[in-house]
Amino acid sequence: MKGTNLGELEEIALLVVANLFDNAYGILIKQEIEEKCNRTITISTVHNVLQRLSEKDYLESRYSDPTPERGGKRKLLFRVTKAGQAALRTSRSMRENLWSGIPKVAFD
Amino acid sequence: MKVTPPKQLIWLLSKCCNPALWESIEGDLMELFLLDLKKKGERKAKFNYFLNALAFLRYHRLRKRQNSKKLNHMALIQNYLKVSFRDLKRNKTFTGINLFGLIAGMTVSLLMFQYVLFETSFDDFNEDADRMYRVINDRYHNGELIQRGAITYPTIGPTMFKDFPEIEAYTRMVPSTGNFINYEEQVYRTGDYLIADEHFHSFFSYKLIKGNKKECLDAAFKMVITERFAKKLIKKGENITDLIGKPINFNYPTSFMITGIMENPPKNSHLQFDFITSYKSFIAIEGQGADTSWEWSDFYHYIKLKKGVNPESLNNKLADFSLRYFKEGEVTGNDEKFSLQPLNEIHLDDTMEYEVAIVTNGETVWLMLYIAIFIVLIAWVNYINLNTSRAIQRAKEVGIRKSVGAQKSQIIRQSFIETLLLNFIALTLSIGFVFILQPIFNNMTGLDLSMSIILFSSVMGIPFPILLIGILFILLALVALYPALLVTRFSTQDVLKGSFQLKGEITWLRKGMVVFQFSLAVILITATIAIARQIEYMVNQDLGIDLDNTIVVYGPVMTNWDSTFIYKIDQFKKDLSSLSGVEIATISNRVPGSGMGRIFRITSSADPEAQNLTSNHMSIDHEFAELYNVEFITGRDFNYSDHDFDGGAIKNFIINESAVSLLKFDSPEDAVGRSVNFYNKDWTIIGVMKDFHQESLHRKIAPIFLLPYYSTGNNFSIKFSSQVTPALVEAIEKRYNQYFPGNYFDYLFLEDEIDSLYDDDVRVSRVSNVFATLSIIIAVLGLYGLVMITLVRKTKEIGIRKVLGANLGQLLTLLSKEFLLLVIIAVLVGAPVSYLTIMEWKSGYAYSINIGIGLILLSSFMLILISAITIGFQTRKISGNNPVESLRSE
Repeated sequence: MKGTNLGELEEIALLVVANLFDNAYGILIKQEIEEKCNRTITISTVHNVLQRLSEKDYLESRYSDPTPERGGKRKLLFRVTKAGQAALRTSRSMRENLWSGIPKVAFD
Repeated sequence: MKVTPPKQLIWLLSKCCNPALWESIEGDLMELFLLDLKKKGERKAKFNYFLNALAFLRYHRLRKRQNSKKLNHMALIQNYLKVSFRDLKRNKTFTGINLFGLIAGMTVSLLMFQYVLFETSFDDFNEDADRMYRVINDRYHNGELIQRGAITYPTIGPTMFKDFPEIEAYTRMVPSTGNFINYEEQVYRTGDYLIADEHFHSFFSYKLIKGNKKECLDAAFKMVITERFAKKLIKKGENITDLIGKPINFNYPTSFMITGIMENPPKNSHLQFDFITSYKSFIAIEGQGADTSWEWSDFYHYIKLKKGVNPESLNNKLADFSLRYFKEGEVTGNDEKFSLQPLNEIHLDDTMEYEVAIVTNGETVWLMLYIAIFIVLIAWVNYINLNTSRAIQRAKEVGIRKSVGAQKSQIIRQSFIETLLLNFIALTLSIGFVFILQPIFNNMTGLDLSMSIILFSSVMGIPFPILLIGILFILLALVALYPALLVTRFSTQDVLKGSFQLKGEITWLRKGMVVFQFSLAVILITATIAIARQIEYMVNQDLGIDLDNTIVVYGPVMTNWDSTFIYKIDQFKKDLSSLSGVEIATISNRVPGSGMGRIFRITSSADPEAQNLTSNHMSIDHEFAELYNVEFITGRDFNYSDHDFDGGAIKNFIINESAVSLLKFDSPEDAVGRSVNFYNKDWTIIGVMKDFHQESLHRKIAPIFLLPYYSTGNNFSIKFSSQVTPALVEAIEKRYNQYFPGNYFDYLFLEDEIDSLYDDDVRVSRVSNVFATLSIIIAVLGLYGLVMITLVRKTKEIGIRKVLGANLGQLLTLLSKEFLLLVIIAVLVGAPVSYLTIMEWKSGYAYSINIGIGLILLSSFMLILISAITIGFQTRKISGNNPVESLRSE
């Protein structure tokens, strides 16, 4: 298993999955990332990131019931695991720590 | 109309993507496509779909895992290899037999392939080799072929070129034997050289290092020298190209100018020479006849056909050509027939008379190839045989494999891998052996061969190594397949119970193969003994002349021919004979062992019908017969007064026994004193010599006219009373330089020269010795293995028989019977075949040994004896066992 630190895109994807709670699947995640973060991303990249996160045990997935609008194909739905939540918290507290350490003088 | 994304792409992706994710990926792509379809239209949607889909291939995480099935394969192969290795180790005897056979077969084949590829590659370096031909000239006399020669008349090439538009180019030449040249006040002896016309370098693809292809031979007294010869001439610090423009002197007032330097002729060129002088010099020296004669006969012509011309169509027109110019013998006295000999066949045809090319016996080349293939066959037959027999021992393993669910294909694969492994080991070792044996082999063949010949040749456009591997693989498949198929036929239960029998078909096949092997062995042994005896016969044959303690000294080429020459030679010979240790010296234009010139249009006074005869001729002096111990049947030998500075005044000559009947005289006594007309004058026969072998024993003794001519190019033969000592040779050299200053003294031993006539035969003999020995060893080893397997199977039977009181002798007969029978059948098959083969081969010799049934019986008996010893030896071992032990063995 790779290191457990979160890459930037991984973190965003993880947050987006959390946002979409229980409805997170490829296309929706892609659109959400594009909208919220104002960047384009291909669907393959999204799948790749989701796969990475699954390998790190930050995401769990299950297949939905078949849906007609996708040519009858089932969606693979993602949900953030406990470990995923912990990882998000760790990275958030790390950032906040760093933010609070910036002297007033530096940012005016 | 419902638009769908491209199907093929989905299919491709589905093959590559991780199946667990595939559905969601496909769904997502579909969804995107539908969205795009609404927003951007069909084309854009399809395009995007395409890009998106392809993008998935970037991520190995999303790709199909190297699935578990494949790993399993690897594991299986490892298991096969492990089992194969163990099996090879466990049965050292069989592995040894198989390996020995395979290594011997492969090593021999690799070496033979080198040899055959080299011998068949001659003249391939010429760009249009497939369109190049040499004109050959058959001469008929009264409907009888009297000469099948490579030489013809000077006008043939140019005339054909003029008459036949099919011919694109031609070149003519006169190949000449070694000579002496004088360069910067030093005399050098040269190897053979060519006198060739200005087309030579455009026609052939020999490479010029310096000089102009078209101009280097286009005028009289120009010459092109090869690199190797140039290196002899240059002084320290000079470049070979510095020789351009330098003069070289032959024994002729005008000196030749070097106008070109060329690379040495490639090893596989049928023409080998040190330098080329221009044809125009030849005309200048010898006269216009060299250009325009229809009778001078020493010229070689090569033609190149235009692309797409069928050589047969031109060949058919050559009959008219003969009629047109030779008018059925009016011109030369013979009916002249011409034909085209393809360039790449020249080297493999050693039957031509007056051949100057490097030639070899083409049949020998192919024979070697066949024998090599035989050996490989014998080795592989062993392999199949032993493996089939051992299938029984391996049956348990197969049974277990099958019972745990191995499929047929897997079991075949196992067998195949085992074969592959063994052959791979054998091949690797063989290549090692080839490198070790290469020098010995090169010595045997007298050629400079190496593995690179195999690596860089191609046959019919396919690189040879690839072809070889392909053939090997197909053969391996066949070799491996039979035992494998056999094994899979066993029923699992029977095998595991340990009760099953070999089917009849298998025993039959095995027996057939043993018969096949031993028949081949019989043929090889017989052939080998026959060849060896034939050579022994030829080398030790009484030639009718005495060659002991004789050296040959090169003639004084650089000395001018004048009226004092004959006297000078005579003084020189007398001077030599006065040396203690030297018996006698003679001068002649041919020494024993070399070919002779011809005289045409001879008319005998015995019979007016006897016109237009042809005979060989030699020029000798009055000591020749004495030195070589040739006996006279009747008449007298030459004496000093028979020679004359003026050739026209000479009229006495001697003939050999064979010439008597040619000239239609009743007896040698009848011939003496009679006149014969040739060279446009009447000659008188003064004596008849006993026939002696002037040429090698490959040729029949032919009629010879011995003429008392002298020339500066003739060689001396010097006979010693005992051994030749260096001091004696030095003394001779001193006198030689006194009498003939400015010449190059060099000598050779006549016996070596005579022996070298049989080099080719000795070579074949050596190679066949090795082959026959190998084939016997391999065949006998195979038999050994088979007997062993049978005996192991019969351990119990032997035990029971012993308990019931059978003695050793009874057991031996019982057990050896079936095998000995096989060998005897093989001998019965092989003997007639070898008899026919030998008869065929013997027909190539004018004088050959009588090969009777005795020889074949001998070799058959040898083989049966060897087999009997092999079988008996093993049977004894087994029968000696304690029956208690063998009965317990289960």
